[in-house]
Amino acid sequence: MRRFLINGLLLLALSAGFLAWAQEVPYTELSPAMLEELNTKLREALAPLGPQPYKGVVIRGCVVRDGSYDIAVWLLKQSDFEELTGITVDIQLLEFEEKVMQQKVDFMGHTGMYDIVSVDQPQLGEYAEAGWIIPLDSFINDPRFPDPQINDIIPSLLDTCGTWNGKIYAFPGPSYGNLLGYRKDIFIAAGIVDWDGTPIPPVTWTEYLYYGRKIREMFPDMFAAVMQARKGEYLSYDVGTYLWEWGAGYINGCDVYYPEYPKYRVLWDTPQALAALKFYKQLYEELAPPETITYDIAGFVSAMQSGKVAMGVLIQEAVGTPLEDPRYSKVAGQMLYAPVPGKVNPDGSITRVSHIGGENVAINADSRNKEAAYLVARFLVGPELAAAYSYLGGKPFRYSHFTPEAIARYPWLAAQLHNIETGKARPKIPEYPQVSDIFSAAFHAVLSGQAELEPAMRAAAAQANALLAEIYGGK
Amino acid sequence: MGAFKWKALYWVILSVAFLPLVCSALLVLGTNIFLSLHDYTARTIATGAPFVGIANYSYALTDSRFLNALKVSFLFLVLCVVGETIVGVSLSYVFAKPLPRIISKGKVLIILPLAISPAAASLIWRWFFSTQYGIINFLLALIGIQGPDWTARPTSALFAMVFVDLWQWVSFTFAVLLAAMQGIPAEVYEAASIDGASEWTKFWKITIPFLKRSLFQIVLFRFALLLREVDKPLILTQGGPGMATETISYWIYRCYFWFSQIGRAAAMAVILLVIANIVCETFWTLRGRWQNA
Repeated sequence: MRRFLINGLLLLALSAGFLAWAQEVPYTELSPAMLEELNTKLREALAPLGPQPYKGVVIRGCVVRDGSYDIAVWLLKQSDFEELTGITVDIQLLEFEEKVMQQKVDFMGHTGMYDIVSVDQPQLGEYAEAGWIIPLDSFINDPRFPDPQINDIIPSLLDTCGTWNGKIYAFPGPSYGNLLGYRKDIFIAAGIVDWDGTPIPPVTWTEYLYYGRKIREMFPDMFAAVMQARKGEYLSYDVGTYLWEWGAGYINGCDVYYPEYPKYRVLWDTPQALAALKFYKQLYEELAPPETITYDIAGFVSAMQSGKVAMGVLIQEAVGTPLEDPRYSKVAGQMLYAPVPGKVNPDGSITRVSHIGGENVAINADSRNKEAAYLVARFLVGPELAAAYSYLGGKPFRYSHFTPEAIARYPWLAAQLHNIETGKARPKIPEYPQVSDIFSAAFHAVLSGQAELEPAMRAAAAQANALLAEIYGGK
Repeated sequence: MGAFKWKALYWVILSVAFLPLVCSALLVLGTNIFLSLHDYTARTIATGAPFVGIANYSYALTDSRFLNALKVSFLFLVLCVVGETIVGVSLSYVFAKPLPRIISKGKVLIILPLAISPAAASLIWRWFFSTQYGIINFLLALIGIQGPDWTARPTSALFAMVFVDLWQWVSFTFAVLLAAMQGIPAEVYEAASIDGASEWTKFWKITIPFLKRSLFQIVLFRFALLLREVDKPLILTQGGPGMATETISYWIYRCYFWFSQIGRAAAMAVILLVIANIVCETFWTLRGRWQNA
């Protein structure tokens, strides 16, 4: 008995010590002055509503844990928002797949457990058509509520991430738009430098392949590409830039339109798409770690942080902070950023397309407090938090995020704005998730050596076209 | 208390225990069948799903992904059950004998993996199998072997799933069979030894027949659990590479939660239930013959 008690106390003491060590006060860079500025803006915006108009209301949310929503939620909780509105904000931050599952269980059970949800860009149509989220237009146009400053939202994001069938269903949230990231030290060591010794990023995919081969030759342990090529939406997302730059796309009439093909026909089996996918496969086989085809977001970020990859088209979650924090990254201080390489066209022009998207905040149709939910959604991604949010490293989606302080702190932001304004996004029709799954299963089989590219993509395209024809046949 | 009151109490207790279970199972099954007869998708949820009869069933039975998932599930199931049985029988045979105390304590370590949730186990092994950061390839490299890309190749990905399942569930097989083996009378083995039977003969002619009932229970129990396996394909392999490790339950999960093809997912679930019932009935019939043999 005495031994049991001693062991138990020891275990308790160790656990307490571990928890104390693991506790970290996040975002200590936010100065009191910045917080006060934020609160001043909040007070001005909320003043017309009167004091605590929704006293006693609890608003629950289910949003993705992507680093940026962590910042937005933390800021909202730190600010005077709850005190000014009377709303208690309780937002769950979940990993992407778990978030989707929890949301759909809530939607299909009509429990109304969550008042606000974050919606990934390609799922917007599905959620809207199913009636799981409601249009925000009536709230936006209601003079009682603070102006969400729609003009401050980057138009391409509002269009691709927030709008369905002409109505705004979600406020764009932390966006993603890929960039090229490359290692300063490796490029200098490999002699890929300009006349003044500064590293030169590849401007075209031809240059990318050339530089990559040179790096692989000089540093056999170093890889020169990394992809988020895990089977599923990860892979479907990752090939977007390549498909668009080669003159193809996902579904005709949805993300792109080519008049020579009928609407609602997938484009993966077109000559342009096959060329793009062949190049992607070539990059994987020649330059990337073999287990790249198992990389999701965490795998991709870890690969970059490990220092074993010299360059890569960075998914948003890898841009900036994850690679620059010396606590987690071996390449802190060594990364440089540039726009994604482009495809050289026959006329000599270069097509560069960044893949954009985002997790966007919407209101659950089953919410019992829609007005309060709207207020939370409006301010969670609103202009009042913008300066502090971007200063702490949140991914941008408003013009007001591109402050001089943020750009000075995060040099990649300058390239990011152009990428987001001119980028393309995946289709958001309700059938997209299933169509995407058909694509990723087929192309993943190709990457893993189980199938040949052309027959696999033609078979997958036939299957997907049959599915789309069931819904859109003749349109 | 009179005999009648005891009998009444017996039926009341039984009803309290079983009625909620039966009713909830019937309710769930009934809802599922209802969904499977309608075209429930993201488009039709809000506007009302039309009745489509057996269209979802015929779609499932002609869907190459569904048929592939059935094939993968069957292969996964057979490999897991056979592997767990062989390893479980071997381990329990060793531990059923008198052993030094320190080795005998090893029983606890064998049973420990069962205390971990299947999702956590899959997550742990996903990192163990990592080519870049995993401990398995690191240890192999120490002895000069270059480890494969475990979850990036079809064969090794399926093997990885089977291995993780074995690692976790051989504990269960071991625990059940050890208890059964310890119940075999020692005199039977002594008599066999006197008659000059070898170790192998004793194992095959005495131990295995005594374990028939337990083995049957293990196989049936594991069959039922493996049919609903989602954690490993979800966390370890995402059903990849390609469709190499897409089990039937994982495919149903994808159809329901990711594609919002609710009607079709419900039809697949009903088909799976029918298959499971047929197999269980067959097992039960064979069990009777096997145990009487």
